[in-house]
Amino acid sequence: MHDLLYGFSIALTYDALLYCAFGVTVGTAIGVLPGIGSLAAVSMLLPISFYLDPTHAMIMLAGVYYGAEYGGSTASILLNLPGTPSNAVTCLDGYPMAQQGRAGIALFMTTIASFVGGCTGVLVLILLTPAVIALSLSFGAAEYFAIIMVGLLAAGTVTEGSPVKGLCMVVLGLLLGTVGSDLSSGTVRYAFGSIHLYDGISLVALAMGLFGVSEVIASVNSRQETRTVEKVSLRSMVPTREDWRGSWFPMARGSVVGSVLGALPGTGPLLASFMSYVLEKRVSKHPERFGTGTIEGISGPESANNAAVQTAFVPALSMGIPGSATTAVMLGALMIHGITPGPRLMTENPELFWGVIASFWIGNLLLLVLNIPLIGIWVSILRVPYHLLYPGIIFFICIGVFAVNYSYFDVASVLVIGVIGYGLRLLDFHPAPLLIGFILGPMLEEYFRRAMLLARGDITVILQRPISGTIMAIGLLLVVYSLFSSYRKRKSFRASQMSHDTGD
Amino acid sequence: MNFLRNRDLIGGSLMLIVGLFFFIGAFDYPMGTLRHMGSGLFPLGLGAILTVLGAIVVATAFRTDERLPSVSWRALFFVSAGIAAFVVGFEMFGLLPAVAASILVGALGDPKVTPRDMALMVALYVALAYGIFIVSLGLPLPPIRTF
Repeated sequence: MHDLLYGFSIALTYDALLYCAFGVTVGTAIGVLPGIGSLAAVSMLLPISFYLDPTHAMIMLAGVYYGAEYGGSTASILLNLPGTPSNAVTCLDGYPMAQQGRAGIALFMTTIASFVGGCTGVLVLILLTPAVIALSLSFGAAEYFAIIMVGLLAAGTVTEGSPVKGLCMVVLGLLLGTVGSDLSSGTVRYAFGSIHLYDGISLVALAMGLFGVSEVIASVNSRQETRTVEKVSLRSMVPTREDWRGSWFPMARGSVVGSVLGALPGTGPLLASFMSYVLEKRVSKHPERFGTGTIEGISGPESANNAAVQTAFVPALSMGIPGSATTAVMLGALMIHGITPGPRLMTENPELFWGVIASFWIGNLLLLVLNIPLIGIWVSILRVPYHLLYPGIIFFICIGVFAVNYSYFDVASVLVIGVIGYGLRLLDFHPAPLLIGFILGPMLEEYFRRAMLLARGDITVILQRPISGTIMAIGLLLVVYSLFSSYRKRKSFRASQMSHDTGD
Repeated sequence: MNFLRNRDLIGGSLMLIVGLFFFIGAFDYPMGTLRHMGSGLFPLGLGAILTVLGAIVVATAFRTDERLPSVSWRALFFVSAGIAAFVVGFEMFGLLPAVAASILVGALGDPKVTPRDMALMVALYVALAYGIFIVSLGLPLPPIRTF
């Protein structure tokens, strides 16, 4: 409790408040706009964050991340286009509500649900993180290796698209992470004599190329611009008593689902919102109403994704292992600031640790204000056509990448990586697992090396030690389950397609 | 069936080739033993795994049989050219002209853009870039190069 008050004394300083407000505002704007997600926004602000002190940098970047989850539902409800991937589920019932003239209520309730989920997530974060830190102090190299391994497996298999392709991206990311000087021996690997690659591929260039440039290329021309966004008045936002009554339990359940899934490394808000929707549909007395504009279908998932975003910081702040691709980028930023994320972060950098956590409360409160009284601003942002926005993104990426090292090589890399990233999207490979692999790769290799040294080259040690063995078993179950479920999904999809074909 | 347009065949083969590339490349570095790992061992293992995963994607390609979606060449070309224009513009004229150049070139990626839009964007974004990067962040970049 005392620590949290200390955190507030940092988060309530003028500068910290300013960066928090800036972060959540940018996050909401990014979330509202379909076609750019929080990962792109965080990578675009990464270079700016190098000019701030690490605490303010983290407060700002985290604000962008959870702010985007608030804003993301706006486009889902009004346009049937998810603002960020984890708001896709909100389209199912949010858009029908808008068509019935209940858009205002849907926007209001998603904000309340987001707030409930966000606050639950922060509470879980505060209670769970010190416990995980205490536990992880007894972990050896084998345990860390096992946790990172499970995180990578989850990142590859429990995402959108085919699990085999997800794993391809994870391994490709790990391999790209080996480019440059080896941590322990100093051997330069895969640099092809280019001095620019001695320090490895630039994280900023990789993140911005994969999530900035390639998203812009994929989004230009791809959407119909004939969209009409109706005005939302404050009066239309007042929910009925029925809406309130229908929302409390879904919000509570969604917060729990989100908190659990967010805290597991590798799974994130996308899976949380999806699972919450499935759960609501299963416990509902009227499952047939889902998809026609029922309030349970939006308040559950919206609490879930916001809770997950907050608890994604549990493994990140306690063990230095990111809970999602976006937290992976933030940890990367911390490392560039010279701070090693890990169990010692809380004791060595208490101002950063508690300051960032305290800022989450403030940020969530600010977002409540930003998203209810000021909703009109965000709705009008949706009216700006994309072809007037994306050139702004391009120059922002260019300056951002260039300003890190003042190197033309980095700008050239962002271009090449962006084109490759676009190619991967066309081939249905999703770049988020690649980025997680890239950031965790050097850690994975180092822990593996240490574990092998201690075990005298006995590879079975990872399975024999009780904690790491259990963790690895969970990981294996996860992979088997996701392969099985994707096989079943494909089969039922094909069956439904076939019956459709014959039915025509 | 058109093999050259099979999405997973192309994607899987690419992964297979990249995996082999890292696998073979790893032999340039010391392997060591599991107890004292050399710097080649980790990429060797990963390269092998990626090769196998790529092969699995190739093997399933004929069952999924997805076609490659159409490439939006126009966006690809002008967005890339916009980034290149930034570098050239910065080297020759300074930051603000570079921003203008990247916008003027990049905006052509979408056919809906009009000359009026372009003028508007240049005015707005150049002012924004000046405000953010020069005034508030104070980056040591020349706004306009003088000769």
